[in-house]
Amino acid sequence: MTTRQFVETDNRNFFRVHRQVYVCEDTWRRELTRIFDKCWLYAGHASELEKPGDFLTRKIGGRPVILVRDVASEAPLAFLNACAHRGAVVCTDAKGTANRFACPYHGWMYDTSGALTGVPGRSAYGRVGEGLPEPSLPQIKLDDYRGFLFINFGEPLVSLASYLGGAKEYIDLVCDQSEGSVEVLPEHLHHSIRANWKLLAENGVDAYHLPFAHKRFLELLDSLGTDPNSHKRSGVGYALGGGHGVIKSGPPSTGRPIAYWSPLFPADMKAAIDKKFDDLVARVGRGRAEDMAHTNRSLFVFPNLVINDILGLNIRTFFPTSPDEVEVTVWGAGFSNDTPEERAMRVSALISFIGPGGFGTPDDVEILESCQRSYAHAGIGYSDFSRGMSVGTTKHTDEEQNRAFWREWANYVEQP
Amino acid sequence: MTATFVVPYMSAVPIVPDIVSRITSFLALEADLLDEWRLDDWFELFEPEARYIVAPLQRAAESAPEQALCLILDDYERLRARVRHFAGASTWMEQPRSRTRRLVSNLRFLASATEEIVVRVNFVVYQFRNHESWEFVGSAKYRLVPHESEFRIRERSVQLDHESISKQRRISIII
Ligand code: FES
Ligand SMILES: [Fe+2]
Repeated sequence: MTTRQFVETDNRNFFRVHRQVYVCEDTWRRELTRIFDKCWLYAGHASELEKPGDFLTRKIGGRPVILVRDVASEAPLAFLNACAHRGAVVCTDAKGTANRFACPYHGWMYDTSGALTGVPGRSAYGRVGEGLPEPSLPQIKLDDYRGFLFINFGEPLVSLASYLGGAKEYIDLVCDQSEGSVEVLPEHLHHSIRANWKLLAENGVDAYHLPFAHKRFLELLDSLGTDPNSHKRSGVGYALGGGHGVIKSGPPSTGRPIAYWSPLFPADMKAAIDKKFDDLVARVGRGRAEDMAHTNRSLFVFPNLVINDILGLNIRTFFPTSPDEVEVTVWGAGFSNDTPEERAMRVSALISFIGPGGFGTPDDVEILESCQRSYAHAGIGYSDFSRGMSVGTTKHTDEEQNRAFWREWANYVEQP
Repeated sequence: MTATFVVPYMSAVPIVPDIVSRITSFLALEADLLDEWRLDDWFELFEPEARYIVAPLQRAAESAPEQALCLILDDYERLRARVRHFAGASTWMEQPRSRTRRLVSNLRFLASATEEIVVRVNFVVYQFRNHESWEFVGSAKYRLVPHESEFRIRERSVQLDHESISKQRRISIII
């Protein structure tokens, strides 16, 4: 039996996690420095930085960050949104296009490569540039996998590609399903949950809860004409290494914009959606087309990214602002060659379930918060993740993908 | 003879005072129905073809709501399901049911024609749940159609002022 501080398993029959991990302040601080400051974190998508000079500012891993497509190199870059002089926020706009950023405090000026290009009264700094390091906007390591931009606040031990490892092929399944490129939809959903972030990491790849917690959503589908029997799915849940995991199931009774019609989509789109499947088969072959179009896939990338390729494509990240609160951001995504009708269909299907006003997320919020309330400050008892373990199954409703998360978490947090 | 006056803001639509009080009391009735959880009666206020929209928080979008990620974009059928679910046992987000209190004010006429009147109000909804409370603040635009002595809602479009649904965490009530 392996007994670690919080994660306990005999690697055969049981796998459990002490609930202290959801409430403990020390653990949360360890997570910030050992996980969020060390791992590759999803930051944004290349389609959000279309042309040179396009920038956006957002909080990533709890810190204010500027993502910008550098004017000279045209490469996406990431900077701490904090002036090298005294740390004032250099860019206050949420997004825009710029050649340079001017700090409001003392007027230092930076170009889109982060270089300091202007200092009011520069002669007062006689020695700047003469052997001393030239200040610049603090740069953060950024790497790109097929348009998905990740940043790393530390000294990454591995490249993004090897960090993603087995998760890459599931990102490919998203990117390759259209001849167009992935495009993040305008606007995003932003909300919090008064629950520990790891409850959301578990929930993102938990298919077991769907018929219970989300009965209401399935009832919505049924009321629109879906055959209730079609919700009986079969599928698999895999650990992908590095704490990443995936659940994959079908038939996708709630619909897939490519290419599985459901009543969440307009009736007059049915023919067009069906035709997409034929096109897909012609382009990528039947097996891969079925993988893309006839399965729901939720990919979890350690520590805080979920890419849901379900009734709509969406990208969700989250970050713990305290042991008992997590901030969540959700972007919808489509493809550059979507028609306005297809985009409308994606939006409509996506928000039918996802987000603070959907028919799914608010029920998750209520339930995850109730878990958190029950742990209170004492963190009594254990949570169980042994589903499928002793019977040796890896169904989508089993919990191997959750165990993968917890093993990786223990590697980061529980080592001395 | 009824005097007419001009609302000196947003639009110069001649308004008969009577319609101001009729719309004010219609909106107060609507707020009461929601606070009292009489949602079937509330749903009756909508025209078939009606939409209920909660727009994106970021407000950048000038595009049509269906082209960007809104919070809520219900057509009539989805709204019917939303309402019906509140009565069901699997709507965990409202088990047990929240209490709410709505304040609706600052009525503006944006357009007025015989077949459709467009008004905008400011609102606050206080929500009480799990021994906590929070509020939703925003404005709501109504496209109203005269119906008998009252009105029917053709579109109810809400713009929240919040930067994030962080204090509230979810929209588990009609706002
Ligand atoms: S803090 Fe930016 S110029 Fe001084
Ligand atoms: Fe869920």
